[in-house]
Amino acid sequence: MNSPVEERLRAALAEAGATIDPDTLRPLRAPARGRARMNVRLVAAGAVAVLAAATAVVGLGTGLGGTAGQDHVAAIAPELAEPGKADMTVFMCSASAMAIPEPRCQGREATAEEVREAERVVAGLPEVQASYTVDRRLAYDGFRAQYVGNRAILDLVKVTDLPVAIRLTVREERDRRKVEKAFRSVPGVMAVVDNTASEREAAAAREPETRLNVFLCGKEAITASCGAESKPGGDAPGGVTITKPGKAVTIAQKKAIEELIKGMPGVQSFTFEDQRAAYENFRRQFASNKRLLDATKVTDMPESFRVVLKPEADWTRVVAALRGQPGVSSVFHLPCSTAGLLVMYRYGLNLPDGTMCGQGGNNLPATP
Amino acid sequence: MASIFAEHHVGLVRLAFIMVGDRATAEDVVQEAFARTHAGRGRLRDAGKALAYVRSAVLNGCRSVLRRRAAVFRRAVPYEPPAGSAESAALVGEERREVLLALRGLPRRQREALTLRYYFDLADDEIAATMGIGVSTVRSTIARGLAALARALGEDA
Repeated sequence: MNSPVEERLRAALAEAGATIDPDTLRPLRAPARGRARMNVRLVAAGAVAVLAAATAVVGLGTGLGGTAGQDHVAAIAPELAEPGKADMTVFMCSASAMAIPEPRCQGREATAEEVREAERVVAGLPEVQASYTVDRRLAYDGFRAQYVGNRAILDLVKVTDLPVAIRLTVREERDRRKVEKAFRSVPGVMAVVDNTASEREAAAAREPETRLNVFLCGKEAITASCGAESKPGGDAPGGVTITKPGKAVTIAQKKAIEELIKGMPGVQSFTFEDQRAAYENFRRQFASNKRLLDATKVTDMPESFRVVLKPEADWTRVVAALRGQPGVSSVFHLPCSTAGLLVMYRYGLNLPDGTMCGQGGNNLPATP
Repeated sequence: MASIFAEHHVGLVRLAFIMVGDRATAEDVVQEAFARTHAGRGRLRDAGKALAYVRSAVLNGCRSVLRRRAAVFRRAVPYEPPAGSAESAALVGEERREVLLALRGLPRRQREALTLRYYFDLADDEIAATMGIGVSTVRSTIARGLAALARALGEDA
């Protein structure tokens, strides 16, 4: 009988392999000097690819002519140039130090041809309703308009830091994961993001009260604050190997954290979220993603304290105090985390921690 | 040799893709291996060994790509998911990615042996021929690889 690990490995490899569509492979070329005849099937495959390309062009032509049945050709929608209106965004590779880290980009810019290729992929996706390619100049204009009041950010980010973005709207009820999947093997693509969740969080973060999420160490914790040790490992770029997992929070530590929160003058209210409740929330949020739900168990979820601060409270002190507490894995100040999320999802920028709200890091695990 | 490549083109590209992680490079690796082995065609008399030979050539190509990349990325900072919540952190670690990342974190030999077994369903002796190692080494490598993967994924092997 196969073990769960074998099953998972088999499934993951099958899915990875399946992203290579035999019909779109470049035909092999015999070396110029070789005299051997190419296999007929290879040549035929090449011919089929050329034919398919020709058909696509014809399809596009009739689609623009308004012929019925061609409604999968995505419309061009200039109104998407305005940030915050897209359902999803495809970011092209950027050489900026503030780019989203993606090994596939190898630190270089996407070429004009790669952008065109990505646009062609977008145009062929039945899920996509409309799209607009935002060049870096246009993206920078939107960025500056949004952060007009934030000198530090405007000084930090230059026009050359912004990646070219293709902003999309997705037809209702269509599977967005298919859009993401379609770009996994397209060269020059840095990231494909779903903007709906980040825009919703951004809207929620405009509520007056400030919220903190205080995550506690679980068993096999991977953050340094829980005592885990890691080293850069493997030859996967940027990969780390956990050499020693951390320790779960103890009952005594949990009690101490609760007492600490209770005694803080800046705290308006707080609740404890156990693994079961965290799992329920998780399930609601990712109801459409069956594979993810299948792969996640109740025991994978972290326990946390959800803290609401008084409007006048000095959140930096509260965060610092909680981060130093044994058994605390990480503390998120939601307004800052959300701002960081938004700048990444709207503009493809991975800004240094703390940039979005002045002092202190906001989405780094606590230091031990 | 050309017909071996023709028949197994897709499979070879998939093997390279799983190893190197991007399609364009994978296609290049297979193309290069094809060009190289093409030069030595006719020298290989035993048709039964041809496929193993071709797979080895592709694996070798992947190894040199990974070596080149490792040199480029040695100074890269570890990637931290930009998580605002545990929920989104879990999303980054989506099932497939998590397993493949864990696989990529394994030593080269374990990674190759596991891919040949669990993607291509090759027998121990076929894996041995492809990787140029002994059959018993294949068995122990797969066992160790599975155990390491299980540890990385928090599962029982």
